[in-house]
Amino acid sequence: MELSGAIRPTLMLVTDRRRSRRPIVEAVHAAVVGGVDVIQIREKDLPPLERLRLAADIAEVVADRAAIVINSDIAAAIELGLGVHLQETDPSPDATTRSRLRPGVLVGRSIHSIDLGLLGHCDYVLFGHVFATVSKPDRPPRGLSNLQRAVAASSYPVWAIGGVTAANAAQALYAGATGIAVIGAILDAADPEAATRSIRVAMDDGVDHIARRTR
Amino acid sequence: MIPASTSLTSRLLLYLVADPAQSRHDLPTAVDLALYNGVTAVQLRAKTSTDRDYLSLALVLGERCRSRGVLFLVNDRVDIALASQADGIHLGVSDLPVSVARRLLGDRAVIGFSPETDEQAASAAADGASYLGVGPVFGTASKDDAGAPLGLDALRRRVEAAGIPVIGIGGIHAGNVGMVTATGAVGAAVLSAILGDMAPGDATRRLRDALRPTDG
Repeated sequence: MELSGAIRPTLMLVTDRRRSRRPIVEAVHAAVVGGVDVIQIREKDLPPLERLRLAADIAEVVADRAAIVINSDIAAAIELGLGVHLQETDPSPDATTRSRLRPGVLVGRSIHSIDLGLLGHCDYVLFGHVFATVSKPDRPPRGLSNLQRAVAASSYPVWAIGGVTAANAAQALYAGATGIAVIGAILDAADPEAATRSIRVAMDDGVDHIARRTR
Repeated sequence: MIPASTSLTSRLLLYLVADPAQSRHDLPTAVDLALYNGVTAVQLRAKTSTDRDYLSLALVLGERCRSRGVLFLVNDRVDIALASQADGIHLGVSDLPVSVARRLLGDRAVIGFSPETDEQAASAAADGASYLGVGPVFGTASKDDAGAPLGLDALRRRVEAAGIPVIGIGGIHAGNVGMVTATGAVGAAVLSAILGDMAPGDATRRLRDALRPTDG
């Protein structure tokens, strides 16, 4: 196994304002200070204009310290110059739509099966849910072996989502994920900045371990 | 109210015709996005709405325009313009005559007129029109009775004859809006270029960028 030069795995926070213990914009700010690299704005239940306003507020506090993708809302991504996170079944944006995204923004997609199919270009894919999670109570987790298979099958970086915490983040990295995405591990915390730091430490330890193992 | 320091001409630069029947998004949302991103005038045109709906839209859009210092006009309906405290009205050749609207709305109202002939363009100022909307400059699908495109030369002719500010309308988008203002028109009116776009705010920004004077 060869480690790439860019060893630092990516940490994504997926927003859920109804779940967050702290007001969501404040929690996102704390998470960015704590070391989150990418914010995925989800909030699918909000009407488009309210989601757009929330996204604008989040973009303002994040500034350029983290990348932002907005869930399935390409129009909002274009309006605000953000990236976009597509659901498994969302069509890939056509060339005209893609050309209206701000250059350099992230385009990612959720996947739930090993059969990756024709995704169109992605900067990353989110595979999950890897571990059991309260966000998906009625479906069994895909587990680490399926994560490993998704990594092997994907031509894009695979990030793990679903029940990822500071306690198991390293396992997801051992399975080949180059990033992890969390909701509750940060938003459930009274101190989201500290919670983010502990996930970050666990990820860095995991990377060190992989480096030693492969040396 | 238009601040006295801001001329009508600069208020007409990027003029949105807000038609709820032709908006891809909820109209107040789309207009909000357009307002954030630089439209300078909004004309509400709700010909297929009931009077109640027309008025409530006028009240909502009028308030949002006023709070941003954007000109707010109502198409055709003097009563709705008055009831919503609009800055003025936009009239076509089969609507109330400009002179009658001027009497009803007073000296301070902005009254736009869409002439169909060079003669009408030349005489509108004398009747009390504040500006002219001339078109369709290019082919358009937004107005089914718009007729054949006039083209840029006819627009320039009407600009020269009018003696009052002229805006072009019809089939205008970010790719051709610069040609419209190059004729001497003070601005451009658009509908589908903003309301038909998946991202009305971004579409507005692109139009504004295309209207920015270039160096040299």
